[in-house]
Amino acid sequence: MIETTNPEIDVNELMERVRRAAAENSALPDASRPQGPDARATAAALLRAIPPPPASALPAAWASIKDQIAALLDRAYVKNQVSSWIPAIFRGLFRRQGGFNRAALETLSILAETTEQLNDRVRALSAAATAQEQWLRVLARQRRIEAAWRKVAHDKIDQWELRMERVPDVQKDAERARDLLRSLQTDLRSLDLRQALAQLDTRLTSDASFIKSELAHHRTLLHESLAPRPDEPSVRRTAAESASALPAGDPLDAFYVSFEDRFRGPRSDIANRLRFYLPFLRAAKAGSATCPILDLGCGRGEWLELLRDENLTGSGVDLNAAMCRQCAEHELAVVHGDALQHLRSMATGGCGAVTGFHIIEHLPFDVLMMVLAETYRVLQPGGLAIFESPNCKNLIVGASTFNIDPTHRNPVFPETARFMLERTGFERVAIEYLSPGDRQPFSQTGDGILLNELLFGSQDFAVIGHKSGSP
Amino acid sequence: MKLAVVIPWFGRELKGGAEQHAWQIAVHLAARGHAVDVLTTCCRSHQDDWGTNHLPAGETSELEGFNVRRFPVGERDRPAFDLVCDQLLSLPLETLRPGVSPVGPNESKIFIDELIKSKELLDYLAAERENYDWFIFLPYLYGPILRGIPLVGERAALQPCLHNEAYAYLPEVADAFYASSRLLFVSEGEQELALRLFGPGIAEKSYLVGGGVEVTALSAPPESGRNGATVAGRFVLYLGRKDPGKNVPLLLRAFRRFRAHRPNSDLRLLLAGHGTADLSGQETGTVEDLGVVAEAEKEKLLRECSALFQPSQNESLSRVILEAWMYGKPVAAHRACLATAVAVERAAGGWTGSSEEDWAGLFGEVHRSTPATLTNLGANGRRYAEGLANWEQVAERYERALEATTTEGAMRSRLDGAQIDQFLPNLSFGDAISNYALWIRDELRAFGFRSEIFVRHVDPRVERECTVFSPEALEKSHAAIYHHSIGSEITSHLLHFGGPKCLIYHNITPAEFFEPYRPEFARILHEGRADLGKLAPYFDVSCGDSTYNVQELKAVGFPNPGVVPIPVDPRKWSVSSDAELMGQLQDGRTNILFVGRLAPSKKQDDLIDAFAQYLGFDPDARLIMVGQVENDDPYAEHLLALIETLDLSDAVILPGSVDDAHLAAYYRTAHLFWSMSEHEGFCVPLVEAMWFDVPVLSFRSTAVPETLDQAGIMFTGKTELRQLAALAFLLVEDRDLRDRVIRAQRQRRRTFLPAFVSPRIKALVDRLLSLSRSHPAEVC
Repeated sequence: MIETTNPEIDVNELMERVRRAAAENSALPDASRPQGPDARATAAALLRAIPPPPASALPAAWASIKDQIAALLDRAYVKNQVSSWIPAIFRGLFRRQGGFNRAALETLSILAETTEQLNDRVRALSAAATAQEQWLRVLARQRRIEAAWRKVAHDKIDQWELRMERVPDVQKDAERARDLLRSLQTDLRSLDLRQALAQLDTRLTSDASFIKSELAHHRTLLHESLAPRPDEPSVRRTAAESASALPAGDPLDAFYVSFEDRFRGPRSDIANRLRFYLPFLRAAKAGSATCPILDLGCGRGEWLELLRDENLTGSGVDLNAAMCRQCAEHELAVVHGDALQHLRSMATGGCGAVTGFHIIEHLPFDVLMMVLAETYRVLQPGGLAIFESPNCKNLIVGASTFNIDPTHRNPVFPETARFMLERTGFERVAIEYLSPGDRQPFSQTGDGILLNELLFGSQDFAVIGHKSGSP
Repeated sequence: MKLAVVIPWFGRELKGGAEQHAWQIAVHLAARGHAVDVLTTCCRSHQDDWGTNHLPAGETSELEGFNVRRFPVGERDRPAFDLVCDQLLSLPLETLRPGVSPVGPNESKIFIDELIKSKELLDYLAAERENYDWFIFLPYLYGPILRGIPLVGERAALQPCLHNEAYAYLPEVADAFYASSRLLFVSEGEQELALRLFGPGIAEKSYLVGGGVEVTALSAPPESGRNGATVAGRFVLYLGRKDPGKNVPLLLRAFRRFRAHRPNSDLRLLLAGHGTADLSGQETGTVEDLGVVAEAEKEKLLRECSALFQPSQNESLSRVILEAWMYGKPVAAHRACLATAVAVERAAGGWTGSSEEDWAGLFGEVHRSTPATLTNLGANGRRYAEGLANWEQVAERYERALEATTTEGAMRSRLDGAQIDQFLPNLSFGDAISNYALWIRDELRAFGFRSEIFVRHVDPRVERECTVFSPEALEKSHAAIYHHSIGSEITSHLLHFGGPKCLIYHNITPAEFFEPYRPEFARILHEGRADLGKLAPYFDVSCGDSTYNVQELKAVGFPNPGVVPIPVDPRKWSVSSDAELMGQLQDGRTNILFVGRLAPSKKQDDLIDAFAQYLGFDPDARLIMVGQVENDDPYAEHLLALIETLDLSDAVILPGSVDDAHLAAYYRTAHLFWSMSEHEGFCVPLVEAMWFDVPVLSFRSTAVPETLDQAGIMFTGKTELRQLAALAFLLVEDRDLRDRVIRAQRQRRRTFLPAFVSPRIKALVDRLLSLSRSHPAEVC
């Protein structure tokens, strides 16, 4: 549509702008900008500011000269009077014409001057009036524009009022929709897809590790059957043979790994729970290269991994070969073998701390006492022993969940554990109750407290003791 | 040349732009061998009492080789002057409107006559006018200047040093601009301001002479001034008085805003000059007011700054900007100040801004720019300043401006004896063809011919210009030029005329436009067009005012027709426009203008329809359609009905045909010239709009593309009225687009200056006369 040969103007770009401007203008709702004759009256977007009133200088107030004129006229009158003793017919001869004339002339000249001044004044006033009139015209136009604007605004308000009447219906619709949404949300939450997915994930992990362990076991068996070396007794075999009453043996290792994966919980959760013990280690100055930490029954190595992350030196021992392989995959220092045997192989006073998470409930009483004694022996003075175990004071744990693990032997009662450590020689032995239940459904008063504790109290406890002396 | 420089105050030591300028031009023009007299008063300077004679009257010689004549100043009515001056100063700049006096005639007179007066100086001017080639008056504002200009007639050259201030709007000032033969400007911006204030009448006598600036010690090593330590690091410099009139508070606010955005910038703002800046609210150490600085220190600041910022809106040519450029530094100027902004834009030597936000952005620009960028901008500025500000070159430009003679003057020759007359159906007041005929007559007379105009009907306003036609007017010994539009009884007389004759064709509107409105007139048009072909064999010489018209002539058999465009001389607007109308039309509403008689071919009805759409973009706009309205014209009635139907009575004005003072007022206040016309043989209003810097938007038809060429914007369709309205709105609102259009229009309009058209008339006459020599009169 546009045509110009002006090299400074890009016709395409200009046309694009024109189209956009036209479209924006036509995009206004019909109510605000109908076509045709009413276009101007209803396109009410612009209200201009009223220009300032004209600065018309009015002439200063002007003193009346009425009094001055009156005085002069009086003087003229007096000059024109003739004494009464002169006979009337001669009076004309005696009028003081000169004085009268002077007064009259003076009056006239003042009047002339006044007229001139009044003229100036009228001119100035008429200029001011013109300016005011112009301004009034501007105001009048502004009023017309505003009236048109008000009319449009009024129409719009009417339309909005109509729409407002429909608002309650719309609100009802909205409420129904909200309710529907809410019930959908509830349904969704009861499904708890995320939890289901997590469960599935855990299960897959445990299945995978079971399969991997089984594969490794079979590979070992195959290897051994192909190249038997009966003259060279394997350490592992020896360890296994010397194992206590624990149901040991390679075929069950894979089972136990996948069992742990299923029931113990993800690695990250375990590691977080174990952070609780870090301050005790620090206080005992354990974890340096000279005071390493030994973890009995290190399992999947969550604790050892945490120690490494915290720059603490530690190693583990576990009877389960599959578990040991997992630790090795995480490049953790682990010995495959029996805990008691391992302790016995260690030098006296070489450890900063000995830990055992969920191991003591697996051991027969006599073995447990021997483990404690050996632990005390390998610790440095001031060294630290930590043993964590299910808290059977929680009736649900003691009567029920303790039995989830088929390799558990007896629950160890917290105070009994403390007593055992004390009898072994440990000092400053303390019990820490851990992992409180997720909920406390009973009231927080009277018997409720007791019930909450018995049923939903701590699921684990730890007994912590120190070897006498200072680190 | 013998030159007089007229200025109220004069002296070697006087500060101030105009005073310095006067001194320098006197020195440099004298050095170039001109006899220079400076005519001034005994009053010492602008700062002294203007009614006191501080210096002795009489003539003295300056070492630089020119004379100074001082004339005593007379007593002045100081209280009256002060009253008016206060009134003028109290007017806000935005209330001032070109062509509208800000005060009444008495006040204006008091201001001019009671400022500084010297009867002796004026008497000298009147008595000695013949003894000087030129009187250079400066600056524009004072009685001796404004009253002196009319006394020396065409020998007056005004160097206005114009500012956008209330005084510039006084009618006496406009009269002085119109009366001077030359206007000499120091900057393009000043020239632009003058065009805006006084219209295109002054365009052809305006010359840009520039103004010098002395920048010394450009290569001197940096000295350690008292602020040696603080000048370290990057800084923006402001040089000048620190009062609100110079817009310094804006600069400070903008800088604070910039700091808020970029608190870690190392860019600082240093201010130097008279007055105290209010630095409250500024972060310590970021802004520093150095107070008045010595020249050496100023040079050091200019040498070391990153850029110079000049936010003043009230400058004719900022010397500090030129100085900064001479030091190769970029400059920021206020966009609302034409003088400085135009210079910065033309020079590409920096940036312009108007709002506080803009200026804060400019600080950001300096902060971000690499030294190379800043150096480039500075170098651009320096090139510009060197061209404009070198006194030698300034003096040279003075010579060129004063020695320039008009082209038409140069080609005048006396060709005695021959008489060439023109014949038209009618001569009316103000219409294009009548004006064209009058101009041709004047040209012919100037060439040395005798020349008269004969018409059938005459408008009383121009009856002294012509003679009513009678067949006896056609003398065989004369040559005849016949203007043909529609046929009249003159036509047949011309056909039978035996002397040399020429036909100028002004086109005939196609009849179909008029058929719905005036069928009888349509028939006349139809016949006129049919007759055109019959005329061809009778005229050996013919021409049209556009190629479009010439093609029609060729088509009907005219041999070899030439083109002689209608000249448009802006000097005819060298008079004040109608002040009342100027006031009414500058009320903030947009003025859309069309000029052309009310005729169906001009499509004013389409324009009204399009304008109704335009109101959707700009609801408060006004459409003014200037042009002759004939009584009881059905088309006019149709237009009125249409306006009524669309409810546009408040928005559409039909003033009828108007005189030049009114027409100038309509053009000067117009924001857009909009034509929907579908038939134009030439269209003079397009060229007129170009002279008034009104952007042209026109339907592409007939001779319009030829007249516009690269100027204006044309459109090819009328169906998308909303888009057309959007285009019109862009042309009104978008400054950049307007500027581009106006730049092209300024080029194009010069093509139609009489000086360029005159040779074509001369060629036409030569052909006509050679014809009379080769074929002695024969009767057809």
